[in-house]
Parts: sequence; C-alpha cells; structure tokens
Amino acid sequence: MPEWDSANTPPRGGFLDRASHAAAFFGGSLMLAAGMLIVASIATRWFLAASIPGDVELIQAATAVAAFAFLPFGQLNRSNIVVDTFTQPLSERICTAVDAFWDIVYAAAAVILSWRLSVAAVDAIRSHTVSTVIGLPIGWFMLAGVIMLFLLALVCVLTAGRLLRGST
Amino acid sequence: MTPLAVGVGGFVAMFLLIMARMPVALSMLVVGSAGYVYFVGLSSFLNFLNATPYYLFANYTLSVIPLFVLMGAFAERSGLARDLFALCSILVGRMRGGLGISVIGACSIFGAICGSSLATTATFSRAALPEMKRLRYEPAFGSAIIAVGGVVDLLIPPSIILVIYAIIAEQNIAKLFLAALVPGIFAVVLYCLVIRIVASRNPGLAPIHEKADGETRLSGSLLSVWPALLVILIVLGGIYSGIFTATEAAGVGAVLMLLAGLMQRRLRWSDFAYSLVQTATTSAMIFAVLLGAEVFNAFLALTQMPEEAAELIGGLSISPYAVMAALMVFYILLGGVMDELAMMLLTIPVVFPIINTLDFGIPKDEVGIWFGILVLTVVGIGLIAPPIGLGVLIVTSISRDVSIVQVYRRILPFVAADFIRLAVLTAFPSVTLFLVRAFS
Repeated sequence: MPEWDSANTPPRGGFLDRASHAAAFFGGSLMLAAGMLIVASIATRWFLAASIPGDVELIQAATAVAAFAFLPFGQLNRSNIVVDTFTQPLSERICTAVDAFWDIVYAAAAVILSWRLSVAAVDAIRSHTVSTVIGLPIGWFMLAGVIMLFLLALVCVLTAGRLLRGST
Repeated sequence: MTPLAVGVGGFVAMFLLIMARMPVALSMLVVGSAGYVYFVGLSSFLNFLNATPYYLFANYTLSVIPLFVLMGAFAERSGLARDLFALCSILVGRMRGGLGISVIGACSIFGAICGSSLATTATFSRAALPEMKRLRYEPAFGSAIIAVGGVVDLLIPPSIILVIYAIIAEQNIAKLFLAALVPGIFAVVLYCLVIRIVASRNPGLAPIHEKADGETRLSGSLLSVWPALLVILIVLGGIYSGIFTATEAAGVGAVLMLLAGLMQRRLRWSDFAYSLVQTATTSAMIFAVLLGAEVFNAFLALTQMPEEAAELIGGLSISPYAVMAALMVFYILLGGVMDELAMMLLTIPVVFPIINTLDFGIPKDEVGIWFGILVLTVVGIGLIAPPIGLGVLIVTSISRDVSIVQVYRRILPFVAADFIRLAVLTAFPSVTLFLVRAFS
C-alpha cells in the first residue's frame, strides 16, 4: 500500500535519496512542461489554425523520460502495489525479509531492463534514429531511461538494506 | 505442455508470487518473461525487451495518466478537499445525515479530480473525519461514509482508472466518460439515500447540528471553490464536446489547476514541489504495473489463451448474462484481495475477448463500454466490502479510534446499495449507454 504522505517528507541525507527525489521532481516538471506545451498547441490551433509542429513527439518523449524518472522515487517510497492479505498471519520479521528479497529481485530486473534499453539506445544513436516530424534523437531519450533504470536498481538495493536493518 | 496449459500455469505462478508479497508489477514482469523465454528462447526475449519499455512509455495516450495525477495533486495541495467539504456542509449539512451526504458530495467531485480512490479516502479521513467526530457522528459510521466516498469517484469522470481501462481495452475515453456519468451519479444518489435512511432510523449515529450558517459563509466558500470547479467544467466540457482529446484535457487541466492555485495564493513553493513529487509516487506505481502487464500480455498472446478461452466460453450454450454474472462474482472475489488497477490489468486481456464473443443484443463497441462501467462498479465493491476492503483499512488506520469490524458493520448497507446498482446496470445496459447513444 503506498504511503500517501511519503512525498511530504524531505529526502533523507543519502545520495540515492536525493538523486531519486531530484529525478521525481524533474519528471514532474517534464509533465508540467508537457501540459504547457499542450495548452500552447491548442492556443495556436485556435488562433493560427495550426498546432505546434512536433508537439505530439515532444509529449511522447517527455512522458517516457518522466515515467522512467518516477520509478526510483516510487520504489524509495514503496509505492508498488503489494497484496499483503495472505501473509498477515506471518510475523513482521518474516514479511520484512520477504520484502527485502523481492527488492533484490526487482533490482535484478531493473539491471536487465537497463542493460537491454542501453543496447536499444546505442543502436538508435548509431543509426541516427530520429522522430518523424521534428527529428528528435530517440536514442538520447532512451539513454535517460537507461540511467533512471540503473538508479532504480541501486535504490532497490538500498531499500532492501534498509528493510533488513529495520530503518524504514 | 500445450500453450494453453503454459498460460494457465503462468497465471497460477503469478498469483502465487503475488500472494507471497511480490509486488504485482514485478510478478507480472517475472512470470511474463519466464513464459516468453519458454516459447521463443532467451535471445528473442532479450531482443523483445530492448526498446519495449521506452515505446510503451513514449505514448501520447498514456501521458493522460501523469497529467491527470498532476492536476489532482495541485487541487489537493490547494486545499480543495476541505473547501468542497465546507461548501457541501453549508448546503446540506443541517439536515439529518447532512454531514455524511456532504462527504459523499465532496468526495465525488474531489475524487474525480484526484483520480485515486485510496488517496481520496486518505484525504477525507483527515479533512472530514475530525469535523464529523466533533459533531458527534458515530466514528464507525463516519469512517464507513468516508470509505464509501473514496470509491464513488471511480465512475465520476475524469476518473483515472476509467482512462486506464480505456487504454487496455482500446475503448474511446470520451465515450467511457459519457457512459460513466449516469452510473456515477446513480451511485452518489444511492449512497446519500442510505445515509438518510440509516440516520433516520438510528439518529444517534448522525446527530443534527444547529449552526448559524450565514450567507457570507456560503459566498466565501463558493469563492474559494469556483476556480477548481471551473477547471473541471473546462476539462469535461472539452472532452464531451470533442474540442479536446482526453490527453489535451488533462494537460489543460493540470496547467489551469496550477494557475488557479497560484492566483488564489494557495500554492506555495513547497506545495508546488510536493505536487510534482506526489505525481511521481502515484505515476510510478501505475507505470510499473503497465510495464509488467506489457510483458505478461506478450507472453499471454503467445499462449493464445485469450482466444481459446473466448472460443470455449462462446461455444457453451449458456446465457451471455450468466457468463457476465459469473464474471462479476469473480471480480468481487478478486477485488477483496487486490487493488483495482492490478486487477484490471491482469484480467482484462483474457476477459475482454470473452465478453466480445458474447451476444448481448447490443453493438460490440457498446459492450466494451458497458463492461468497463460494470467492472469499475464491482471493483468499487471490492474496495469497501468485508473481509478486506482496502478503503476501510486506510480509513481505520488514519482514524485510529474505530475497529475495522465496527466499520464493516456500518458499511454493509452501502454494500447492499452497491449490489442493487450493479443489478440495475447489468440488467439494463441502456442506463449506461443512453448518453453515449445520444451524443454520437
């Protein structure tokens, strides 16, 4: 169950905490920028009868980078949906250990996703893959995703460690 | 092993992992990956994985989710929940059960903007419960009303969960918003009726309070709420009239809600930063599940399970309504243990093809819309009904002075009202569809 107030607490001192918080803030800003672009595009469509060229592509890229940027902070605040109905009879210590184990599995998954996306990013950069209307370099946006997924992996290890030390 | 058996095995494995506390998104990702590797081999799977997450997230339609979440976060930090509750309680607060009705009214508007049922429950547990207790509402009754208020917004547009259903079932968001309007208002009316009846029969639960509510308070309250209400009107009006797409409406909504908060001097820098970061927490949860579901569904497609299940059930000589009823029971049971989002992402890819093969005497595209409304109705029941009901768990964890069992007891009449609503919506598809038909 997500902790609804988690975003209200200032980031703790560590580098990973601050990096995830900064990434989340950056991702949120990107979505706000996307919102502003939408408003601008609608305005030009109304008044100049043409929307801003490449607006859809920009919003797509912003959403992708923002989504990746949200993941580490989500993990830091344990926002992932977990069904704890069936493990309620178990002791808290066992549940914590199980959660820490799944954090490590999540870290492994994030490493694999990051690695595969890096392959796609390098391919796209080498082949100069660009978006169709305004020629956005897709590979560089993918690279941002690679970094965020790697940060996610590190955060997963951090949260697992915190669970085991009992400091979450 | 036949592909179908592998598919069934995949579902079983995933549910076992979910029961063992593995995050839902991760279990879909892990089982989906294993299944995919089983069918096509490791190297093909790795190739499939390369750019899949990027192109999944770089989706114009999907951007509607963080944008609506952002709009909700701005509204929440501007104090909209408290204002709406104050406005509604000035309007109807002095009648029997009026404060409870105010909660339902405020929740339905706030929840529609905020987009998350559980967040709405949490917000109103803080915004309204203390006031209800002060006016000597029975804490369990008050908590039950707030838990119910949290789920009423599932159907009030622009509900985010409705948007997600539209995306995974490939339905038109604007049409779904139209279809949801009458069932959503129906839910609000039924809940208000339940509060009235319960409060009249047992006046000790909800005492009438006499307060001098002058007109100045009403105008003051309206003054603080109107900008947010105007934003909702623009968002929904834009979608319904076809001026905006849903994504555009969400973008406009987020920007306007920010401007409203700034102009009213209600959003400080810390609130602004909080809203951006809160958007990250909620969106991360949704995007993680979407990624897991993408991989799991790719595996599922290889098993051909959705087609075979649809063929099997379509070939049976039983009434389509019996199948629908069975599915509703299945969803209620599932809703008892699972979050609404996970539940939909897990089941829709298999269940939707089944629904599509059945003949309800209405066009196929309407079936998709009608089914979405029904699913969200049962999901709502799952969120409040014993033995679990995540909404009840949240409100009791915040309220602290009521036991879960007490709240369950008070929530039963609302659950009964839900079943009546579900029966009406299932038996009469036109209740859901007439607005869609009228506008298209």
